Amino acid sequence: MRRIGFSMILLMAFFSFDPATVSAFPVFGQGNGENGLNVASGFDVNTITTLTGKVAAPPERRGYGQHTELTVETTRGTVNAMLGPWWYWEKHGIGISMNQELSITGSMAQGKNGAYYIFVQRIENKSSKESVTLRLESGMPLWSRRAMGREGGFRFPPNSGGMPQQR
Amino acid sequence: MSSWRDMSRTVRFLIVVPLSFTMLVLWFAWTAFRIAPQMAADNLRGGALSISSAIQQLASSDPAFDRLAGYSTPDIAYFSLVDKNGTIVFHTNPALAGRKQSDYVSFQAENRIEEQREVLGTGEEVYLLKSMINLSEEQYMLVLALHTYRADNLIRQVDRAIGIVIALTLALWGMTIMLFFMQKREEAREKEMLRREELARLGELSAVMAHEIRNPVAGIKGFAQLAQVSENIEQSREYAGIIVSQSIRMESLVNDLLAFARNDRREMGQTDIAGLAEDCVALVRNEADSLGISVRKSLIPNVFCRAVPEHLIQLILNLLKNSIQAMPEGGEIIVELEKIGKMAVLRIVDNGVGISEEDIPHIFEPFWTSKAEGTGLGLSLCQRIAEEHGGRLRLSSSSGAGSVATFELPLL
Repeated sequence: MRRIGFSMILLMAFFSFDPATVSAFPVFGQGNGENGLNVASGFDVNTITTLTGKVAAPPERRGYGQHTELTVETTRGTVNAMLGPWWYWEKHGIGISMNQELSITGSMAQGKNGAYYIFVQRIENKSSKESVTLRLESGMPLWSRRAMGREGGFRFPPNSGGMPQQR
Repeated sequence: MSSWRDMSRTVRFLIVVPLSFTMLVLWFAWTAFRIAPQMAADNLRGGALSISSAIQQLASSDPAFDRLAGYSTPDIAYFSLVDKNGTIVFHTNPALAGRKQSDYVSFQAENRIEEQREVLGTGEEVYLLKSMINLSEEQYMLVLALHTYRADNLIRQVDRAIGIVIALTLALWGMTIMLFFMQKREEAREKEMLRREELARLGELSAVMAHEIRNPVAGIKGFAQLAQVSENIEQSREYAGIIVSQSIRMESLVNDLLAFARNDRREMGQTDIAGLAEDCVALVRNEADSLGISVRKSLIPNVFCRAVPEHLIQLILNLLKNSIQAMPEGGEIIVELEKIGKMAVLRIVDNGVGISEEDIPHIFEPFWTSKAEGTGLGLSLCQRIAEEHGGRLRLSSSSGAGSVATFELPLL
């Protein structure tokens, strides 16, 4: 009996820890939170696109208050816009409220939860004519130390128009 | 291996059933786990080849690739076209057009289709298909990246199903282990009770031995001493007769004890029950006649059972002797044998003194007796013999109205 019990424990240990089978057990981690994306610094130039849509949920703190996220209703469906760290958005963000028309340029991704996310490079509030650039064209976030050395973020007053100029 | 044989049937059942179920579940989980990613990959490949073909058609009909810019499906993460110089001539991110694609030359040389999963800078894992397509007699490399969420849904569903099944299996094991320990505890309790019962029986046995042997021995000793000093030969003979009868009583007690304590497992064979009953009646007939007891038989012939004949003779003789002892002033014993269903039924009916209602529950207990000189082992021995043969012994009686002993045995 002791031998049978020991064999069962070994068998279960094998199925629990074999890396090839580990995904069969949903209790084990699947990466960065529920979407599996690199929320802190994710960006890929290959998937850069521009979306327009209406605000469905204004910017709010997500992920234990570490980053800012807003939801827009676009022609491609509901997209969650990742606006970077909360402290940066607090300092450099623009006013955005419900149902305002936005134009967002950024890197699109689909999370492991099936939702679409856009890592925002530039966001323009068409209703208030305000816009802000959060990343360089290379995707480097402006809140990063390297980018901070060059620029503290771009913020444009209403009706100034055009892309931000790098100094 | 011997420990496996030592386990009770329940414990073996408790181990074998969940073990078989677990093996089945693991086999199912393993098969599903192996097949699901393959099916997801096939889905992705099929989708990617369809989209590649659509892109090729659009690009062929519009050399400026303007129509490609408007082409989109929910599964496309991005796509690009690379010309023979390794320059990106089209990309869903227009800012990347005109850049160089480093791996184009080696890919073009082998003219193959390459597929892989790749993690993008966003952290998303995409399915990447690289293939050569012909546009206006020129070859281009198409790089197509697809979201994997929809295709991987199958893997997630399988993972979820496997998770549930494994959780249920673990719950089953939990219950099995619990039942196993409960069973073990019950067995230990039963063993302890058996041990206590055996100790109690040993105590009873000692008491019976002390009483049943000490008294005759005291009598034998006393009469032997009297015979030693007696000068009257007739009186000495009388004492010797008493000594012999007491010795016979002790011998009978020892025989009963030995029979009760025996643990021999003799081979059972085809036995004619009617013949055995005839023999037993013949053995007691003289004793019965001397007491004015008539013995009547009603035995159907050719009743065969699997039995140890010596043990059945002991059983039938004990029952007959009990009946004779219940009729000190004469009476009648009827011995009947018949077949009822798949059983041979032997009845021994007497019209003796019977057994009182309060004594009936104790008659099969070892060492319990209502007689002055009985050992109390006869009926318990009979019951044990009946059970060893897969049969049953019952006794119905009421005080003053005689008794009916019914012995049932499976037919061959």
